[in-house]
Amino acid sequence: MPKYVEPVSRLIEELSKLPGIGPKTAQRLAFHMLSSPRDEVVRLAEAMIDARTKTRQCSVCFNITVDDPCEICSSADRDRTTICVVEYPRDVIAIERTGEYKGLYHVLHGVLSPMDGIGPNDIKLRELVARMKEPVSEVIVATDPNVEGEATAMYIARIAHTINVRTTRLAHGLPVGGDLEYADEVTLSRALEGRKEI
Amino acid sequence: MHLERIQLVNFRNYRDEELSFSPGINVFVGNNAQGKTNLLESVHVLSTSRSHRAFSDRDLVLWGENAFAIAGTVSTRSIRHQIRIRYDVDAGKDVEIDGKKVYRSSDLTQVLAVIVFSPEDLQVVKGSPGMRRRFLDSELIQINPAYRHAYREYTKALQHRNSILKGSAAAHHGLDSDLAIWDEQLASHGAKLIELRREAVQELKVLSADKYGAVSGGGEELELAYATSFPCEESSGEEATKEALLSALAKTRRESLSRGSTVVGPHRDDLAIYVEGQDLRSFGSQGQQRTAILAMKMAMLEFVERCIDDLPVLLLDDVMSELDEKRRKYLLSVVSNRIQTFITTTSPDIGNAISDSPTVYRVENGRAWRC
Ligand SMILES: Nc1ncnc2c1ncn2[C@@H]1O[C@H](COP(=O)(O)OP(=O)(O)O)[C@@H](O)[C@H]1O
Ligand SMILES: [Mg+2]
Ligand SMILES: [Zn+2]
Repeated sequence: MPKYVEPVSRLIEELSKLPGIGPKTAQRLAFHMLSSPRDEVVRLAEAMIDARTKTRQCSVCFNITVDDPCEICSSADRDRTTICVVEYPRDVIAIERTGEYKGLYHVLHGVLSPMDGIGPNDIKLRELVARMKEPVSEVIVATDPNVEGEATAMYIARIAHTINVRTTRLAHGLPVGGDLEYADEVTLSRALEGRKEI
Repeated sequence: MHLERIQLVNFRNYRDEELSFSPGINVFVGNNAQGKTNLLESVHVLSTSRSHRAFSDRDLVLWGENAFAIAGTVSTRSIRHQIRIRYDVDAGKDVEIDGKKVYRSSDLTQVLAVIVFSPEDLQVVKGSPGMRRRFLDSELIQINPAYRHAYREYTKALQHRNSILKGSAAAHHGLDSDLAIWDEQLASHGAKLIELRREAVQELKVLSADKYGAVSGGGEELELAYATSFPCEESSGEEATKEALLSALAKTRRESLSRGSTVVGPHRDDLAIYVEGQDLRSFGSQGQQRTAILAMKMAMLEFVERCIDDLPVLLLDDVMSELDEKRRKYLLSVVSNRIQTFITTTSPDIGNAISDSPTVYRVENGRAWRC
């Protein structure tokens, strides 16, 4: 089969490794770049390198940050006795948008998913347990309301019970089977208010 | 509801075909491997966004192409709708109703619901419990979003639990607590599934007893019952069912571990079918079995009609020739120009045997036309 010249086929190959991008889309994107102004493509490449090299995970909450600890963890205005546990950094953004929440976060970077080989040691659960042993009055588990999110919430609740930390779960208003990421702000702040003990 | 018109582009062996249908009986006559089932399959895809027989959407694309499209005009009680389904090997599937994107296949079913009856269904009574569960599941998933949700979550929870059972042998430390959190998920979604299935079976039981009587000419009584794979009292409610399932999961943990899979739960339940108290699943003549499945299918049709408040479209794939005169007559009396019906057959006589002057089409090598 005839192939594109090496730089182009390499670009297509790299692009098609991205999630949700098949070979056809990769090809379209590659040709879009070839026909774009040179500095536009350079800016894109630099943005990718910058985002990857200038950020890291906060050593406390594991959110994405430039400085460590992150802005939220080092803020004097936040309630340090409340931790909201989320699956991904995007969920922190979603909850921050509501402006309702004044506590800290903990980003798990995933959920329990045995069929994908993801167990308690593959996400930031041990780190959460360590944080729960510091003076914490409430852990709000804001994982998605699907079976993996619920199982993860229950796992956290079970450990929290043994060390006498109160756990609550976002409850009302979240679309069943939906993702936190897609919930609008009103729904989300209502869910935050109506959280339940687990 | 009925399908007025369909257009197929690169779907199975149809390159570009447009057909309009009668709101009554449509008969498709052709030799084997010409595209009759493909045509019914396209109607099923239009109704559910999925094929009833293909393993993947890819198989539906005309060989050598990388996308298919199906468009249909459906007339429901109140209005007319346009459905459009496009699938691209690369970009995936895209479903639109009246130009608006939809994300849940139950939205499609509200506009176009179908009931398929094919020769494989004749095996349901005597076949594996899985076939009888599918008899319930395939319709319930389509018409009831709560059921579909519970089904999907239950299936995932089951796969997670089985992964733990398989992978972790006895050496794994936190095995018990790992399983416990999945047991909880399994039990809560499983209880929901069981309750909804029981409700459906309760209605289907009454409906199919009535229809069995109509085919067999009375005398014999058909009875359906939902049979759980673990001790669980009927009509004690969802919470009690959940507790029963939880305790069954705990009791069978060792057996499940040694097998590497979960041995109790709705994925192991069955639909029991009795005639005069005799279990048709293991006893019963072929005649009784055929009458039973015919009654059950017609009961399902009425059940779906009640749920969506409109008449579904009936797809009869090659079954007419499998039924004898008496059962065929009964089937046609149910249809009786009230239900839009698609019938495929290799024998032109079938069309002639239908008194309600059906519209007849010829199907040949990926083309279809009205005779
Ligand atoms: N994706 C496809 N592309 C082209 N032809 C296909 C495809 N899938 C099946 N076929 C052809 O369709 C025919 C089977 O059609 P089908 O509707 O099942 O036959 P029947 O008329 O017996 O019901 C076979 O000739 C098969 O080769
Ligand atoms: Mg066929
Ligand atoms: Zn932080």
